[in-house]
Amino acid sequence: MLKLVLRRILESIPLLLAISLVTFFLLFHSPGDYLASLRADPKISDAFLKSEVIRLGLDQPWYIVWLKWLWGVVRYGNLGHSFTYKIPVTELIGARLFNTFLLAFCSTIFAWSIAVPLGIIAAVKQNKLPDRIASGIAFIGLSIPSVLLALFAVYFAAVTGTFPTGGMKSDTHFMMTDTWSRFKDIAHHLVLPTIVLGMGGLAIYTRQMRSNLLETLQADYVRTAMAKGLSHRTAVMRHALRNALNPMITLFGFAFSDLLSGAFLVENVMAWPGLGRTTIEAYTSKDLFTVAAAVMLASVMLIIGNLTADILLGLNDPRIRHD
Amino acid sequence: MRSVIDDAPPMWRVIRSNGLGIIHEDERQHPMTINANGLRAITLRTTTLAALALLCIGCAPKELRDQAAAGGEATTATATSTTSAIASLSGVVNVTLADQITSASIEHPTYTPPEGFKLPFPDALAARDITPGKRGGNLTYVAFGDGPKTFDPITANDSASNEVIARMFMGLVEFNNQTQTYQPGIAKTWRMEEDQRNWILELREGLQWSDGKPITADDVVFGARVIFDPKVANAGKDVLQVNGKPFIVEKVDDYTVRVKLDAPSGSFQALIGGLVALPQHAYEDELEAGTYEQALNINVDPAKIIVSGPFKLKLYESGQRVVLERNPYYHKYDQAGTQLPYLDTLVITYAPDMDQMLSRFQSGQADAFIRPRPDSLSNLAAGAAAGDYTVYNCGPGDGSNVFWFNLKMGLSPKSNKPYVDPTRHAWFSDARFRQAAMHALDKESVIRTEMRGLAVSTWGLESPASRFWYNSNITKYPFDRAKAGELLDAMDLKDRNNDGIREDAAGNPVSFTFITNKGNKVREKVASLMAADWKAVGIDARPQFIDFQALVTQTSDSFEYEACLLGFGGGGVHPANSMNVYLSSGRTHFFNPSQEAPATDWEKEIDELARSFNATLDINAQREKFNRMQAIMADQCAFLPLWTSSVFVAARNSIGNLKPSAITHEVLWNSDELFFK
Repeated sequence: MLKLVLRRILESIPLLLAISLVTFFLLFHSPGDYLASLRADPKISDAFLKSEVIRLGLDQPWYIVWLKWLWGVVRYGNLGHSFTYKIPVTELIGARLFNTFLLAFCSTIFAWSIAVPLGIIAAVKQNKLPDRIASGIAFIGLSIPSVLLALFAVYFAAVTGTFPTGGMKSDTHFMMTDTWSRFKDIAHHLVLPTIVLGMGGLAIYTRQMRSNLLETLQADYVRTAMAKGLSHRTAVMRHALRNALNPMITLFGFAFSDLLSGAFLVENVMAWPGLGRTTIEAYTSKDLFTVAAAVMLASVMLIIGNLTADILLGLNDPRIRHD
Repeated sequence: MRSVIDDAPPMWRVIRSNGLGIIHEDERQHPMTINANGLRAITLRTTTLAALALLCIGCAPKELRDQAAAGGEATTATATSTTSAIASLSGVVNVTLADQITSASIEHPTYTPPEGFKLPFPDALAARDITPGKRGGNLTYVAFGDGPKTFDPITANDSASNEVIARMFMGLVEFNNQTQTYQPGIAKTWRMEEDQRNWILELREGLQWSDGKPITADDVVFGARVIFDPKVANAGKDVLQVNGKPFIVEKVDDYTVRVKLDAPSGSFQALIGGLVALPQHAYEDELEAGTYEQALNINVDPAKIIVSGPFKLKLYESGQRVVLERNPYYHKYDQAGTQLPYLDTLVITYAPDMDQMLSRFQSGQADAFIRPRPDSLSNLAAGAAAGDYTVYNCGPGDGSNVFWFNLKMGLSPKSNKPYVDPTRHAWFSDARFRQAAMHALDKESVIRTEMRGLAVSTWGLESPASRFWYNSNITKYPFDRAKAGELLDAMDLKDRNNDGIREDAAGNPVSFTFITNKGNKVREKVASLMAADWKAVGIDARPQFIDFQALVTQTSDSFEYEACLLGFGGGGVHPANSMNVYLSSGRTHFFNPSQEAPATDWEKEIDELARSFNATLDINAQREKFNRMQAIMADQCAFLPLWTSSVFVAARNSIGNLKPSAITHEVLWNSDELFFK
């Protein structure tokens, strides 16, 4: 297992290098640069613009900028300074990354903890009422785009007043003194974004779980188990379910990256202060190192997601040997 | 703004409290303006939003549907009336100056000022024209965007940062949005010395920083040192200069500062707004260590931000909100003797889109916001009585929408071809062509349909929001297709092959492409309507929608385009801010920028007027010169001005001393005076 982790980490290095190279190439070759806004400002002199170009290193070819950045990352662990905020991008992105991670994490828990049992029930009670209800939920989840769902959620919150319409903390959060009410406040704000973000995944996993389990339920070894006198429950839980879970775990690795991109969208509509908003703003203002750092961090999260899936897979199914 | 670009991402709204800023214009009133943020997702959202709206109306209770229908009627009514009828939009209150000043006496609770700080002292500022209020309360203002980028008054270059910084740092002089004049701030008087070049600023004695240390001339000199420090990147150094020579700021005594200028400057009053008093004791070490730019970054401990203004930073939550609390050393008091500000805390929250702003206001989470979208305005106004709030129409804002032809001559160094095709360049350079293009536009109907009547047609670059400097007496080009036809006929541009498009004598069809930024749905529709108007007089104009950043590159760097449609932001009402648009040598003289010598006689005349404007010390004589500059621009139709959107403000009725205005810092400019009734 340790070998697997090490190998995966080594493998990810060329991958990350390639991603950063492409990111820098694209940023330098898309129209406009960070100074475009200053160019249009009548108060700013050409001399100032020229000194800024040099200070920010924008007078150099993109690959030189990339190499210098890479050196900074390798040598000092420094992902660069944000042009806009004038602080190290790690400081800028750190808090935002945590918020996005929190949202993605809660959505994952929400989606999986409902999808797996729902899928099992649907499979075991195939074509009966519980199956139809579960399928109905899945179809609704699948067919409503998350943007629309987010707008529904905002509308629901505005009309009923049961949940906040957006944000991560209420405006009075800073006045709360005890940890418990602060925690409750954030949890209250988390409910709607979590549901919105998790809904799409929930639907897919439910369907997936159902079909996986249906397949294994018809397998010879399950029939054998039942023939040997095992109860239906034990046969399903001990034999069928464990095998049906394998494809689900693989799915988990990819699902995490989907969640991240979905989170960017939900963050915008529901004012969640995550990485997505910062990244989009940084992209439009061509804040080079912030965009690069956001892309790199998202890539790292994807790699970690896949690695976790592989490890879980190994734990779940002793037949799978990573070495 | 003054300067440029509209639809720049909101972060570009460069605006200082003193009105020195520039660029801005996120026309947030339009749904797609957000485009500035490049959010394709938002575009997608509009469609879904429409679907949602339909759904909501379909399944909403009857009262809701009636309300929506009423809103629809109100909108239709506006659409069929002229712009002056905006006033009739039910529930909207037009801001006039007279009804803003009231007087009443209100009891005020006791409070304990910090030790050693006692109001009033002789130089403390007495606010005489305000309603005395009571202390306490928390006001929440919801703003568009992702929040401030820095808390540093010197390097800040975006509207979100400036809005917060203006609450925390008091200027040497302060701009009053209501009277549009400069008022004493930390400086109590300023006067020119006899040589007519140098200025003496007298500072108030007894003022203290939020950490209790005195505010003295050293802090003003230190502020100037930071501005002119080569390691501190800021636009201020380009502003605080005459003829390319920086101002020299020196201490005369503890409370007197001399500002030495290289030549007399008529814009000095507007320019000293760019000088900032900064606590030397707090930041000198950082400046010497070369780390000043990070001294006031967004992650810094709030206790380290030492301020002179009404509020100090309590906390900043990245992307969510700024919480400001009362600065106990603020020296302003009202006629009842109560120390300002009245509010305990001022919270500015940030919403990533317009719907969030609206819903936070309507659900009571926010007390005020500006620039609701035109399509939500009638519903917002309809709910005013029930929600106990008022929607104010503050009149035209300080931004404008402008079209221009590229008049740049010569060869592009990149492609070695002319910037503009010589045949077309010859048409564009003829004032008659530009005037014909102006006469051909039916601006009023565009305003009625696309802007929902919530904009005012303009004929010059200056907005009517600038009460002192705006010249209304300039050449106007009302919609007149026959007149446009005559002008084009006179240029011998006629439809020679009956295809509906005019040709010149050599048979070249009169056609051109104009660029505008994509993503702004209103702008995109406006561009097509303009093209249709021009087609009706035989000009084939094709809009081309490109990314905003690419557009800036084309108009300010490569110059390879034929014409451009853009919004200019507001950057303060003083002409000093927009001189580079008028000067032929200016980089933002968009239609023909950075000329070595003026290309035409009229540009030469404008250059001379601008020069004498700056050398004139009498403000009325300055106004005459600036009026003349505006008149020449309009005669020549160098820019084709289109319209300026009206600014709306929504705020709870419980806020006292509210004086909303159409220029930057619309609501919060007098935040120290706001209170809850």
